This record gives sequence, C-alpha cells and structure tokens, in this order.
Amino acid sequence: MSSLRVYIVTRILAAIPMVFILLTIVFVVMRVLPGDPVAAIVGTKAPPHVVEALKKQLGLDKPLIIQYLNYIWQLLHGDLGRSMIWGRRPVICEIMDRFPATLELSIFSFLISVLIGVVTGVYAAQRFGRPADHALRLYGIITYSLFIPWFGMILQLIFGVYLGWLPVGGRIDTYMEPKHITGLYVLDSILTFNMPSLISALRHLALPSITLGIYISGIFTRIVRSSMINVLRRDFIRAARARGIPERLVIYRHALKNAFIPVLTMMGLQFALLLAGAVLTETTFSWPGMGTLLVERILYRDFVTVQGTIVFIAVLIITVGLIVDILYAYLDPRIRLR
Amino acid sequence: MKYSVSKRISSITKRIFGRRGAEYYIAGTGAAIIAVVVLAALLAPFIAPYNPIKTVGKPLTPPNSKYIMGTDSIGRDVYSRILYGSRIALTIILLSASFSLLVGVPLGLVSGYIGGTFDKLLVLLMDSIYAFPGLILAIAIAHVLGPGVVNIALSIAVIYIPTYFRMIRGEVLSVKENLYVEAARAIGARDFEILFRYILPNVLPSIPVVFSLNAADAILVEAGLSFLGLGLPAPTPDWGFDLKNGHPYLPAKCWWPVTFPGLMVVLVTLGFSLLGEGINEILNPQLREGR
Repeated sequence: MSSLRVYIVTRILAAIPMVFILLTIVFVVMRVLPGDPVAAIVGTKAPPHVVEALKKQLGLDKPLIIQYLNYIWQLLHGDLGRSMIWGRRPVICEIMDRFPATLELSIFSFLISVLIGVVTGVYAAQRFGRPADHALRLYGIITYSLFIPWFGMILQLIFGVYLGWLPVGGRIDTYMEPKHITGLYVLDSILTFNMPSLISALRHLALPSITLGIYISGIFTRIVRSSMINVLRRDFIRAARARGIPERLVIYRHALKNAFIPVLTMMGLQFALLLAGAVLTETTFSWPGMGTLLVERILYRDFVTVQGTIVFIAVLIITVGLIVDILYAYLDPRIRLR
Repeated sequence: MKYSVSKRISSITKRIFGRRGAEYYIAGTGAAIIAVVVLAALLAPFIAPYNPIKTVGKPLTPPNSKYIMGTDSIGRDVYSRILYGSRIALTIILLSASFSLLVGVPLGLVSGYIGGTFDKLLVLLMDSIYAFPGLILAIAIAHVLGPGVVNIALSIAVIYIPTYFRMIRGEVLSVKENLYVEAARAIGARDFEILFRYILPNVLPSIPVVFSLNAADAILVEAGLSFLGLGLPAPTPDWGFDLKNGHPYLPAKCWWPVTFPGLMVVLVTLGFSLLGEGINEILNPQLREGR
C-alpha cells in the first residue's frame, strides 16, 4: 500500500474513539448533568403523570447505562430520533433541510476570510516591523474581539437601513428559490441558469458572510503573516530574487505556495470557530440554517432535536478534521511518514 | 525555591518597567481598558443616573442631554444599563475563568507528571472538548443547567478547561526533565512535593496569558449566550440580552439600544486580548519575530 493510503486508514481509525468520546460528552451534557430534560421540556410545575409519560416516551425512565447503549445504538443506525413538535418529523430530515443554508454561509464566509487573510498577511510580512505590519497585527486582534451579533447589526444599520443597498435577513426573496438540486441556492441558480435567483441569493449572502468572514479573517492574517515571514527568509527566495524574478511572482508564486501548508492545518481548526460563529450570524440575519434550528428548538424545548443537532455538529467537526488532515498529508509527503 | 520565584518575578517586573517596546503599549492599553470597565462596575450605583431596570423615560428616545445614550424599547436608560451590565459581565468572566483555571491546572499538572494510560485518556477527552465549537457546547450545557449566574459561568468554564490543561501539561512535560527535579527525587522528595514545590512554580508564569485570553473569549461566549436567550432572566442588565432586545427596532433607525451595549462587549474583549497578547510577547520575546 502507498504511504498515503496507510496514513488515511490510520487516521480514520484514530478518529473513531474521538467520535465516541464526543458522543459521550453530548450524552453526559444532555442527560447526566443536574438539570432535567423533562423539566426543560414541560417546566417544573407539570403534573406527575405528564412527567412520567414523557420520560417513558423519551426512554428516560430506564437506567442510564441502558439509555446510553440505546443512544449509541440508534446513532450507529443514523437515527437521531423524532422531533417533538410539528408532526414529529425525523430529526435527520429537519437537519438536512437546514444544513445546506449553513454550508452555503460557511463556504462564502470562509472564502472571504481566506481572501482577506492572505492579502493582508502577505502584505504584513512584506512590511515586517513597519507601521503597516503593526496596523495589521492590530487588525488581527480587533477582528477577533468583534462580537458577531453587534458587528452584524452595525452592517445591517449601514448597508440595510441607512443606505438600503442590501437585505438584512433571510436567504432569498420570496418565490425566488431555484429548483432544488443541492440546496445551495447559489449553486442551484447557476446550474439552472436562473439569473434573478442568483442575484437575490448573493445579495442575501453578502452581509452575513462578510460579518462572519471578517471575524475569522484576523486569524488567517496572523497565520499567513508568520508563515510568510519564515518562508521569506529562506535561501530559495533569495535565489529567486537574485535570478531577477519580479517581486510579485516571488511572493505569490514561490513564497505563498510554501507558506500555505501551516495555513491549511489551521483552516481545519477554524471550522469549529466558523460553526460557532454561524450560530450567532444566523440568528442575527434570520438565516434558516442549523444554528437557528438549534436556538429555535431550545426555545420550543424540543429536547430530541437539540441533542440531534449537537451530535450532527460533532460528527461534522470530526469529518472536516479528517478531510483536512488527509489533504495535508497529500500535499506534504513528510506528514505521512511520521 | 523561594529565591527562584522572587527572582523570576523581579525579572518579569524589570522586563515590564525596564524598557518600552510596542508590546508594552499593547499590554498597557489592554490593562487601561479593563481598569476603566472595572471602575465602571464598582462605581455603577454612584455614577448611573437612573435605575437600570425601571422605565424612566419615553421608549426609544434618541441620545440627548437627559439620556446620554438614549432609552431602550421600554424606556430604560441605556447608559445606566450598560454600567450595571459591566457588573454581570465581569462577575461571569471572573467566575468562569477561575473555574477553568482551578480544574484545568491541577489536571494538567497531574496528567503531565503521571503520564501513562491516565494521561492518554485525559488528553483524548480534553482534545475532544477542545475540538468542539465552544459556544455550541456552552449552549447545550446552559440549556440543561438552566439560567443563573453560576450556571452560565459553569457552562463557559467547561469549554476552556482544555486550554489550561494543554498548556500546563505541555510545560510539565518539559519542566520535569530538568536536573533539579531529578535531584529533588534523589534526596527523597515525594511526588506531591515535587509537583507543587518544584514543578508548579515553574509553570505559573504562563497562566496570566492564558487567563487573559480566556477571559476575552469568555465574554464573547457569555454575550452570545444571552443574545440567544440563554443568559440571565429578563430585567437583569446584560449586554448580550440588550442587544437582542434592541435588534427588532433597527429598521426604525434606532441605532442606540444596540450600538452601546455591543460596543462594551467588543471593548472588554479587546482589553483582555490586548493584555494577553502584550504579556505573552513580553514574556516570550521570540514571538515578536513572527516565528
């Protein structure tokens, strides 16, 4: 077997205990911690027979260890249970309705943050130690300190309320949804050549993805900067400059390619931050994604959906980590041989 | 032993007061911001012009000479609410950061020192918590625990335990290889003594940095929780909660009920971030090189 294949297999095997631990953490948080899901659902003043019936319905009347085994058994079958409201739809369907919205928001925010991060990071590295470098370091600290709902509201105020350029909420204008193919409105509009839908979808995406993108961009500025500073000191850069290659090419072709490997690993880690940020961004912009699903169902006391969404997020995080690691090993053969 | 700690402290103070580089201004600005907010919290009853939970004027009055930051949707003074809000925010930051420190540091110490299976399991657990999006874990815990200052602080504390654990464990792994630890063991010091008298003092200097950066993050999570409606119950002056309350009135061009509380969240976070970054660079000068 090639070393890459060996690496992929070992990495997947290593992810399995992680999945179990995360699922167990969710179980402990939702069922073992003091605080009672039944009380969270019906309130503390519900009559005893209602409480008993609900406990039975949720399987909470059984011993914890049985509950745990049931929980894991169901999850292994991809069964997240049924929602407790609105016709008791399977939780996995509820999540799949919302997941494309979150994915679309994440992809655009990510693109924006990487774009800003690379441009500013490279610029700061070129101006190492000069005022521009200090200013961009400050930019890194300030963006990380932004409170997403506040920053989002300021953008809503400026571009939505005062200038009236962009919509401040929702995913697309009414009756503009493109034909459902992937659930990503931008992609679906392109696939169906639906220009009005595409414009509407992009206009709705603008403010939320800029909010989330700028929040995360500061981290990329910092990583790209320090990684570039290291690469720019190397001999092959000096050699490239000595050969008379234009500075732009040296920076973007020779240096950035090598500086990008540490940036890639950080991207995997930032995905968790992106998801957490998505919950706040979605709530601020009434974006119908998983974050709003989670918050909505907490308010409706839909215990099963809340648990299911968190399990889904846990599995998502591990999957993305896995993909990034494999990509990393593919790009940098040294990793596989460690 | 005492000598080494005092020497360390004096070298730190010398570094702080000895010369002035950018990092001293960064840390100083952060400290100044925090000092102002702490003062506001302490003096709130004396400087707040109105009762923060009483209707004192017409709803949604724009800022004017009577209400310098305007009034919110039910006519409460935004400025007074912000001042009192800093008390809630600082209390929760302090509580949660202390919880994480008190759990994370001993766990990191013991795990790094003992090693073996116990260490491996704990690392796996901590890495799992660390990988999980903090806010979402805090949402789950806060949802189950229910509202209350201590409950909110606990939900936030859980997500930062791994940060302390990882940092302390890493330091213990390198410190315990030192010759003086071996010497202590050779003269018959017990594990407990080695841990607390020889290793702990040497890992302590890294704690302020983590504490500061943790506090910066904690305030964002706290404001996030209350913005999502999982914070403290209604009339309590809380920045995140006020932001949520003011949000529906944005289309009516009421910018003041959200701008000021949100600005406070950003300001406090910025203060702690700057302080943490500054101290970090003062203690580890090689960081400035961008390595």
